[in-house]
Amino acid sequence: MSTPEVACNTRSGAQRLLMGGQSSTITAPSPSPSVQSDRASENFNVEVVDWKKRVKAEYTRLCFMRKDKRVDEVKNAFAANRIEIHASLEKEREWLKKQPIQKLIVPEILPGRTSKKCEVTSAMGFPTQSGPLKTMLLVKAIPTMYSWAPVQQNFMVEDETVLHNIPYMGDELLDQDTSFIEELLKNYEGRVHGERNSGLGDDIFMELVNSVAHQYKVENAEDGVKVEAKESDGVLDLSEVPVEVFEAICAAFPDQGGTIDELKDKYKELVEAQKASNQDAVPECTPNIDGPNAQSVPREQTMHSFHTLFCRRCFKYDCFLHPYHPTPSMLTRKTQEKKQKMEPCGADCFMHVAGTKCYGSNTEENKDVKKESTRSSPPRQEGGGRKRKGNACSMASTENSEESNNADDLDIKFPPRTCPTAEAWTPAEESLMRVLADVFRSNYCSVAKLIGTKSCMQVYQFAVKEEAHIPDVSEETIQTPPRKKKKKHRLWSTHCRKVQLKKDNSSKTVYNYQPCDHPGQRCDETCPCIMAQNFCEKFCQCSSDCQNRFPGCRCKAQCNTKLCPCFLAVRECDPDLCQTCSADQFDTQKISCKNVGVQRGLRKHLLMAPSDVAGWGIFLKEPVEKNEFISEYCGEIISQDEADRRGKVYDKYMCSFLFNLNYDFVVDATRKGNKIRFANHSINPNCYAKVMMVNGDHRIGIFAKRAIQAGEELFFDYRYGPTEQLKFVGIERDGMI
Amino acid sequence: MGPKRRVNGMNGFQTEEIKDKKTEADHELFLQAFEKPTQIYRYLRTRSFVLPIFLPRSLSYMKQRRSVSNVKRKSFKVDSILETVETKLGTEPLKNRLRQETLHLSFSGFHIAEFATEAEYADVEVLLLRICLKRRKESRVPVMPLSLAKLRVPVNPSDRTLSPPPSVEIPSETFAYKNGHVVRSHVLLFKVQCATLREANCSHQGVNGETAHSIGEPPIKRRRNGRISSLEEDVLTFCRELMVYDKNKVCLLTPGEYELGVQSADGTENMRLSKVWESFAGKDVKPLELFSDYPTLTFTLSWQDLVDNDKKAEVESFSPSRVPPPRWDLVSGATDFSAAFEKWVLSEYTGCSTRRSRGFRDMREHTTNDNNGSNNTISHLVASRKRIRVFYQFTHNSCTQQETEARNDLRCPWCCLSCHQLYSLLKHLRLCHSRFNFLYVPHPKGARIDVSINERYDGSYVGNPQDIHSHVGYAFSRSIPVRRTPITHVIVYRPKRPPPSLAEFQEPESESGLNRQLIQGHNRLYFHAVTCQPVRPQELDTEGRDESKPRWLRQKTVMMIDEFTDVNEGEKELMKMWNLHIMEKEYIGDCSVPQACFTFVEEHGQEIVRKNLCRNFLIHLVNLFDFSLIRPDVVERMFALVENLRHELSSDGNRS
Repeated sequence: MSTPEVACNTRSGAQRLLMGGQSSTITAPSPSPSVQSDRASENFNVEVVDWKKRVKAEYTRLCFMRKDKRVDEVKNAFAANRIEIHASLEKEREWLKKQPIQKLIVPEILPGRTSKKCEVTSAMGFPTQSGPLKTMLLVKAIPTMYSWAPVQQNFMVEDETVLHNIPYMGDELLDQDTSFIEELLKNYEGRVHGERNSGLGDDIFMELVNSVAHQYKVENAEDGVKVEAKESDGVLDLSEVPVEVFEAICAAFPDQGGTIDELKDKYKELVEAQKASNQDAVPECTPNIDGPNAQSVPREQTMHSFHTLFCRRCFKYDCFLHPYHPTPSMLTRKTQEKKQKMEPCGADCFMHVAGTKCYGSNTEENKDVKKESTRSSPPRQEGGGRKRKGNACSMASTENSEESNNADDLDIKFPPRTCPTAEAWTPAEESLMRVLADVFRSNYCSVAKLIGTKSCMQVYQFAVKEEAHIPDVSEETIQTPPRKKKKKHRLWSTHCRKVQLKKDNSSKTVYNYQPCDHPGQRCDETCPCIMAQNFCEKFCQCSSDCQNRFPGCRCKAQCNTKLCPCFLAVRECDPDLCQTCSADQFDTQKISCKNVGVQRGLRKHLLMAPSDVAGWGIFLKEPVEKNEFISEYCGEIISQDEADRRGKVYDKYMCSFLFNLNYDFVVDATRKGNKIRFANHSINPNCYAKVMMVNGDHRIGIFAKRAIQAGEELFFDYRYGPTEQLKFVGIERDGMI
Repeated sequence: MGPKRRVNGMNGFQTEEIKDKKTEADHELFLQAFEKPTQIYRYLRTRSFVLPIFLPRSLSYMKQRRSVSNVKRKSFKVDSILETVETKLGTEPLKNRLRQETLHLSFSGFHIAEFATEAEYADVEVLLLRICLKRRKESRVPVMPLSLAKLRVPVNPSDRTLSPPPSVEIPSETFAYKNGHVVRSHVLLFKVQCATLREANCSHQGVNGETAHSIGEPPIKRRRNGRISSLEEDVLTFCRELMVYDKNKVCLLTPGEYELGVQSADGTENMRLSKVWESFAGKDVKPLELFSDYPTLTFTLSWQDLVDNDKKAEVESFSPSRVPPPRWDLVSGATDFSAAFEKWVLSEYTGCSTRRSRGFRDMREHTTNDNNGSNNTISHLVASRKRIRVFYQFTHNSCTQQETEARNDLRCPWCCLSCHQLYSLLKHLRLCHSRFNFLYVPHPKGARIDVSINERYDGSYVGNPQDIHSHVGYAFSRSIPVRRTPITHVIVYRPKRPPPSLAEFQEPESESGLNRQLIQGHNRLYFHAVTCQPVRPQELDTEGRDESKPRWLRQKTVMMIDEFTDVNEGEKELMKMWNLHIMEKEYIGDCSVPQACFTFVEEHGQEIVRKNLCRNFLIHLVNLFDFSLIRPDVVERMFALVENLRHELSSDGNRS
C-alpha cells in the first residue's frame, strides 16, 4: 500500500515532468537549421514552414495531453489511496471495538497540587480572566525512520543498472563532497532514473505522425475524406502517411531522426512491431482449458505455463525468491505406488475388450517399483501415534498414502454421471486426456473418471489411437541405476565424513545453492553442488540416493546440540529428511525439534522503541532462553555487486542494513525487512547471527546468546561471523572518534 | 536567639570574593553556569522536605543516619504485635494510668526574644484545671481551676547552672477523682506574665540595627537610659495547657525536658516576637515555626516517689518529648507548600530549630557568624566531633579554578543533608547531584572536592513513558475490565557492592555505570513498526499480528501473475488462488503438499467451481505430480473432492 506521501512525491514528479516538457518545447526550435532544412526550404518553401509549425504545435499538444493524463493518474491514485487508508483505519477501529478492552484516559494529577491557575489581567479595565493551567510535558522526539516494507521471507531483486535517485544527505555534504555523487554516478555508468532522451520517444513519434497525417489528409482532401479521417483513429500504414508529414517532422526536429527515409523506416518498423504484438498476443497463449475456446494441444503446451512458473522450492507460481525454476524432469516423478485395480470398473469397462495379459505384467512391474521405493526412502509414517487432531479426514485422504495404498480406495468417490457421454471428443477433453494419460498410464478407468465426460472405453480407444504419445515406461529404469543395498550404513558413514569435511573448511566461503541438473550422470566433481561444497538437496535432479545428498538426522530429541548432524552442518532439519525428530509435523505445536525455527517462522514477538543506544531499537516481549531462535533477518536478496553499489550510499548515511549471506548474495533490509533490522550493534551482544541452510536456501537466523529477559533490547555483533563487510551504527563510530 | 544567622549559605560561593580581578568576566560565566543547577537542586531539596521520595537513612551508604537498628526485624512476626501489647499492659497497668508519684516540675527559664523584653524574671503560675463530666442542663463543661503555685522564672537565662531552678511539686493526690464532680481529665495550665516591649518592637520590625544595639547591653541598663518609656512596656500573659490525664485516664506526661511554646493570653497569633526581620509575607506557619516565633517555657518534668528522692536522677529520662503542638491544623490546612517549606527551611538554617533538637541531634556549628551571645547554651551542647574540613573547589572551563570554599562539616552544600561521613557525602553528591562532576582529592587538612559542570548530564525524562502519552489503561473501570500496561518497578535491588572506599571518587564516573539498565521489563513506550504510532496497552499483544502476511506482498504476487501475457486467464486465476493459499499457510516441505492441496480444496473449492476452474485445477494437480510432489492417487482424490463439490452446487442450484 503506498502512503499519501508517496503519492505526493509522484505528483511533484509529474509537475517536474511538466516543466521538463515545457522547456523542451522551448528549446526545440532553437537549434540552427541544418543542411537538410536548407535544402527543404529551397524545394517547398512556404508550405513546409507552415507544416513545420504545425508539427511543433501538435507535438506540444501531445506532450501536454500526456502530462495531463499523468497528473490525472496520480490524482486518482492519491484519492484511491486515501480511501484505502480510511477503510483500513475504520477496520482497525471496528476490530478494536470488538475487543473486550476499554480505553480510558486518566487525567494526570500531580500529588499535593490540585491544579494551577493562569490568569489574564487587563490594564484596560476588563475583568480578569482565568482558567486552569495544564502543563504539557515535553515528549521526546522519536528517531528518524525511512519507510520500509515489511516481509517475513527474503525477496530476491535484480540488480539496478540505473541510479534511482541521487541521495540527499543535507546541503553541507553536497557542498563539501561533490566527488561522492560523481563517484556514485560512475558506479552506474552515468545512468540515472527518469533521465529522458531529449528528442522524440518512439510512442510519441508514432502519435505525432498519425495525428499530423490525419490533419494533412483532412486539409488536402477537404470534403470527401473528412468523415473517414475522424473515424480512423487507428494506426496508419506507411503507405497511408503522406511524405510531406515526414518532411515536416524532419524539418521540425532537425537534430533527431536524420533523413526522411530513416524516419520512414523507423515508422514502418514501429507499425509492424505493434501489429505483430497485437497479433501474437493471441497465439502465444494457450486458451483456457475451462473456456469455450479450448484447443486440442499436445501435453507440453497444456502444461507449459504451470511447468515454467511453478517453483518447486516455494510451491508457488512465479515465486519471489528463486528466479530460476527448473522444469520438472519427467523421469524422477513419483510413480503410482498402489496396486492396480484388477476388477473392471463396470460392465462397459475397457478391460473386457483388451486382453488381461498385458495387465498382469504391468502390475508386476508396478509392484517392483513400489518395493523399491519403500526400501529407498525410510517409511514415512511410523506407528499410528501421529494422528491429526481435528481433521482426521484430511489424514485419511492425504497423508497415509502408504497405509491406504493397500486398502481399497473407497474414499475416492466421484459424483454419479449425469450427462450421457458424447462420442465426439471436444478439444479440451483431448488435451486433458493427453495430460492424464501420462499420469495414469494405462489405468483408463481413473482417467475416464477424471475427465468426467467420457467412459473408460472411449478413453481406451483414444489412447490406442494416440499410442505413440505415451512415453515408454521402461525408460525410467534406464536413468540412474539403482544403488545396491546396505545403503543405510554407507550413507551414514559418508555423511559423517562429509560433515567432518565441512567443519574443517568452515572458514572458507559459502556458496549459494543451485539445484544441479545433469541427466544421466552421477554427482561427481563436475556437479555444481559438489564444486560449491554444498550438499545435493531434494530439489536436485539427481536420484534421491545420490552420494552427495545430506541424509538428515535421526535424532529423537530437540536437535539443538552438536550431536545432531543437521545442527552440526548448520542446517535446519529438513521435514522430508528428518522424520524422527518430528520436523515433518505439520502442526507446529507437536514439534519437539528446536532446529526448525527459521523455516517455520517461529519468531519471538518483538517490540520496537527508541533505543537506549542509537536510533530505534528492538525489544523482546517475552523472555527467551539461551540459543533460542529469535527471528530471521529478512530483506532483499541482492548480488554482491549490487551490495557494493548500495553500500556506498549506506555508508554515507552511516546506516546500513546489509548482511552478507554467502559468496554470491547479500541480504539488504533497507527497503524490505522485518523488525529485527532495528537490532543495534554491540561488542557485548546478547544475540548472535547464524547463516543456515534451510531447505536449500541460505537464511540468517538471529539467536539468543544468553538468556534474555522480557523488555531487553537486542544487540548482535555486526563485525564477526559472516558480516565483516557491515559497518557499524553511528554511535560507536562517534565514540571512536 | 539567632536572628543573625547567615541565611545565604546556599549562595555562599556565589558571593565570595573574587580573587583575581582579571578573570572577572570569566567568573561571571562561571557564576552563570553554576547558577541554574544550584537553583534546581535548591528547589529539589525543598520539595523533598515536603514530599520525600525516599528517606536518606534507608540508603545503603547512609547507614549512619539510621537511629534505630533493624535487628529485631528478622525475628519479627506480625502475629506477635497483639501479644507484645498485652504483656506490656499486663505488667504496668497502674503505672501508666494513675501514677502514685509526685509530679515534679523544675523551671529552667522563660525564653523570649531578646529585644522583646527587658525583664529579668517572669511570673509563672501553675494551675490545675479539673474538667468535669458535663451534667444535664449544664450548658458548659464545668471547669474547676486550682492554683498550685506561683513562681519567678528567669527570662532568657544565660547560664542555667547559676541558681537552682524554681520548682513545683504536685502530689499525686491532687489528681484524685473525687471532688463532687466526676472529673474527666486534669489539665495543667501555665500562665506566664512578662513585661514586654511590644509597641517599640513593632516599630522596629525588620531592622537589624535594633537587635544590634541591644546586644551586650543588659536590659536593666537600657531601661535606665530611659529611651524606652513605660508606656511602651506592656505586661503580657502567655498561657499554655498541658494535659495530665486524658479522658481514658491515661497519663500523658512522661518524664523529660519540656519546652513549651506559650501563646499570649489574648490570642493574638501574629506576635512575631522573634526574627520578624526575615519573615515572609505569606500564609501562616508550620507547627515547628511555633518554637521560633513564640516564646517558650522550659522545664524538667519528672515523677518522683515521695519516699525515695534519690531515685530522681534515674527516673529522669534522657530523651525529651514534646507536647503535640496545638496548631497542628496548620499543616493539613496549608495549601501553598512552597511558601511553607521555604519558611521551614529558613528556620532550619537560622539555628532556632537546633534548640528543639538538642540532645539527640548533631548541631551545626556557627562560630563564624554567631555574634549573638544568647546562643551560648547551644554551643555548649554541641557534641565535640573531630572536624573534617572539606574544601570545595569549583572549576569551570576545565582549568580555571574559580572558588575554594572550606566548610567544616559533612553536610551537602546543596541539600544540607548531614552525611556524617566523607564517603557518604561523596556518594550522595555523585548520585543526587549529577548535574555536577565531583572528584575527590585527598587533602592534608581533610578533603578537597573538585566540582565542575557535568556536560554530559542527561536531563531527559526518565519516568514511565506511559505517563506522558497517557495511554494508561485504568484498572478500576466500572463497566469492563481494562488492560493496563504492565510496568516493572524495582522494589529491592541488592547488587554486589564493592566495599566502600574513597578511591572510587578519585576518578571520574564511568559512562558504563550510567547506562546500566537497572529496570527490567517493559518500562518504555513501544511503537508500531511501520506507522511509528505508539502502541497502546490494549494493542500490545496483538501488535504485529498480521506481519507474517503483509498485504503488499499478497498484492504483489497477484500483480506479478497478472503481468504475464502468455498465461491464460484460467491459469492466472488458479495460480493466484494457490499462491495466496500457500502464502497464508506457510507450507514447508514436500510432505505437506498433499495437506496443502486438501486445505486448498477445503477453502477454495467453491470458488474453483464458481469460477469454472475445475480442469485448470486438475492440470495444477498434474503439475504437482510432474514435480513429484504428490502421487497420482492424491490427484484423483483431490479432483474427486472438487467434482463432488460441483455436483452438490449444481444440484443445489437446480433445486432452487
